[in-house]
Amino acid sequence: MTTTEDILLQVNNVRHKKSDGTLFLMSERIGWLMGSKDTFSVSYKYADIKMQKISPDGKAKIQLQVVLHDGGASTFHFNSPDGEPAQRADRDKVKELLQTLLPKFKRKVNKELEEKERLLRENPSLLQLYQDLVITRIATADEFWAQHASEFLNKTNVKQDVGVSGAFLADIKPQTDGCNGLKYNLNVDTINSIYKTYPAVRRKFFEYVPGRMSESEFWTRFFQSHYFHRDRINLSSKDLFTDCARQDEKVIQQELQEELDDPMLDLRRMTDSTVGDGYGSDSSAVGVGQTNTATVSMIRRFNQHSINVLKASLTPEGAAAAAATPAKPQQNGQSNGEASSAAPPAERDPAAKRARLEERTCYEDLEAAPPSAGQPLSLTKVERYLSGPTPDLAQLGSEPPSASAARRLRENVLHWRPFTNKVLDPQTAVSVLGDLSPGGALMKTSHKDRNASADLPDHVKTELAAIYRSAGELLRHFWACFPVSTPALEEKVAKMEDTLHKFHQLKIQNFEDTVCRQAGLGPEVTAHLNQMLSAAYAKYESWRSLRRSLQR
Amino acid sequence: MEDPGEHLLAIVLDTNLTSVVSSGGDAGAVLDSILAFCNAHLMSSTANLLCLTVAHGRENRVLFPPELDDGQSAQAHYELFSQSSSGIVRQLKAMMEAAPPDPQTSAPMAAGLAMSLCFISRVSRERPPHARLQKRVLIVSGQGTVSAQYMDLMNVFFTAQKLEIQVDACVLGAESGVLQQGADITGGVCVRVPQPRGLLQYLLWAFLPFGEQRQKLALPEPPVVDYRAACFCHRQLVSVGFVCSVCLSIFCKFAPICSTCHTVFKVKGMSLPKPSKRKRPKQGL
Repeated sequence: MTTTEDILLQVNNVRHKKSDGTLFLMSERIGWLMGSKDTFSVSYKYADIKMQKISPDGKAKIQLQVVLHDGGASTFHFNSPDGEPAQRADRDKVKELLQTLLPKFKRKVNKELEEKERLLRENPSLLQLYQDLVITRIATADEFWAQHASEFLNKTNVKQDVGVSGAFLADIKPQTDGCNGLKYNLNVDTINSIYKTYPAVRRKFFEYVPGRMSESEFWTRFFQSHYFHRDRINLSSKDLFTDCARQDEKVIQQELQEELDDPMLDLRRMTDSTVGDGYGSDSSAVGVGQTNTATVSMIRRFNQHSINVLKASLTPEGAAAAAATPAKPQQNGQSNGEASSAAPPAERDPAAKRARLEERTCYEDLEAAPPSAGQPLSLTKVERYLSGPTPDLAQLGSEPPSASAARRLRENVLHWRPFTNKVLDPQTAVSVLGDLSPGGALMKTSHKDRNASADLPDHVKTELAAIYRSAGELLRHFWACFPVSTPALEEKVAKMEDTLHKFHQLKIQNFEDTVCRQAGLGPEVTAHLNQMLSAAYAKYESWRSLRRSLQR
Repeated sequence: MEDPGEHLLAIVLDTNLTSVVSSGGDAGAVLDSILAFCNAHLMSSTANLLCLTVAHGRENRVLFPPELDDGQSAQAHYELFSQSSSGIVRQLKAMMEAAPPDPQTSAPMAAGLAMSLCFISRVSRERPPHARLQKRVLIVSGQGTVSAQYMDLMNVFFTAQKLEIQVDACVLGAESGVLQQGADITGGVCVRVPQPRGLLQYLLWAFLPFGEQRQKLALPEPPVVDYRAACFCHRQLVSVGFVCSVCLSIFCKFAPICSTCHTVFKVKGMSLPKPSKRKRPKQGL
């Protein structure tokens, strides 16, 4: 043992991992030397030790366990031959020394580091990422925690207070303790819950304890009191919780009077019936005034309990405004009047109210889409839109009237005597009529579009109609053959083509030659017919050439 | 054919008949024809109404129905005729004496047309609601129109279209594109009279019948109404041009920046002309 350390304590007969040895406590570390060895088999720095544990008193072995920061633990068994008390004495000595030494060397636990380690343990994917990036030096650890794992870190920042369980009082299960005694287990948590829910009890506690009675006695009285019973019918005056009861009464009256500050909440609309309005039984107001006072009071107590539980789980911000916050956890009890009044003003703020109203009444997707802003139009030289075209001078034909013409006009009018001459002489009238009748000079252009059928003599018309009928039938058969898909259709097409030609030769030519010439009509009578036939011929030709090219 | 409704004919007469005079015609004969036509209209039925507006120089004046009753009525004349003849003649002469028509300026035809439309509306409003009043406007002009009144005339034509009033045109000189367009817009007839001597015949033939009778008659129609627009740069009629898609201004040549709204047009490679649609003749509006 070539150390320069001071040995603070040396304990013999300490077994570690089933071998005997000596336990040394030095100034900076604890070490265990196996009996036959020279050097420490096991040594831990105090800085590495997180805590120590001792075995409970009832156990046979007297052991001390040292838990390290990284989770490892080693157990030392004190096996002094002097017997159990000596062993215990040894162990206690070690324990106390360690207790004094450990705080000195207690490493400033980096809470964050612990947190990170926990995260890494819990999320294997994050661990994998960490290993990939940090261990391979792609990113430094800081970068890793800043970028990749930032969302994990943030989650744990907001700490939520554990709320009060609604049934906590029922969970305190009494245990029968032999004969006729009941044992209630009260944790600190339970006590805190009771305080949160019944702040009056807390006040009483401070009043009576530790001055007048002990803690356990207080709680005993608490459980015994009728305050705690289901039916608070008999309230004995000796009971120290009677004014709690009275206080509660007062409180609930006040609650009833205080209006519910949320205008949006309408409890009366909440019914259990799933049938819609107007169907089935009417959902009129529930009958008021039950005569059974016991049930009424019980219901009232239930309601009050619920109110208290709710209030107890309000955020601590409401109680932050309360005065005199003791070291105990914050209470949002009604004892703090400010707490309850801190919340309503926030609601009554008109902006907040409006926001809530809007949230309830407006549906964003039902509103019209906002009109898109168009591009502004800037126009110059607007007068160009307003003036008409300058007529071509060539169109005018005649020269612009001269001043002499104006003079002549004036004289004409001044010397004019109406109806001295004939206004209209017959020849002029007739020539004008000629102009204006169909086919005349002024009517020529309008006549082109007109159907010439009005001019045809009747027999020509009937014959033309007959030709049209038959031609139409033939053409219909012809065009129905396309597209040609089967050999039968091919034959039919060829046949139709032939027929059309024949028809053309015989009928139409005949018609044109004889009848039209007789009537003096030009070829435009049959122009349309010829057009249809030529279209059919062209189609046939194109189809034939296509077939020939395909066959080759 | 019994036509129980009233007929209201509004005539807008342009007194600038210099074109007639310079081509050797007689203005007096023209005025005679118009007078006779007015009388014919009044004679057709006692329910017929007439409104004669004269566009002279810088003013429009309603010569018939007269505002003041002269009291002069020649004997053995139908009172209306004597009123019309004497009254109109006198006022025309007075107007012509006072201000001879200036060959350079054109009479305010659009205004005259608007005045006659107002008269028609007034009359139709004075009638009880169930009364059927058939109304028409006839423009008699010696020179077509001048470009300065183009926009005003078009506005009046569209107004007449909305009021369901047919606007006919009788042109004594050269063919007038604007009046043709107006007649086409409102459903009327535009006739160019080649011989001023036969004016009365033209008037009686084409412009005397009313309403339903007109549909049964074969009246002259203009071959192709020229609806071409004028380009903004030269004010020349274009049939194929370029239209800015932002401000709808028409140009005859392509320009990368529209001169009205200063929009920049992106050109792919060469300047590809985007011709506007050639306006079809006689297209419905």
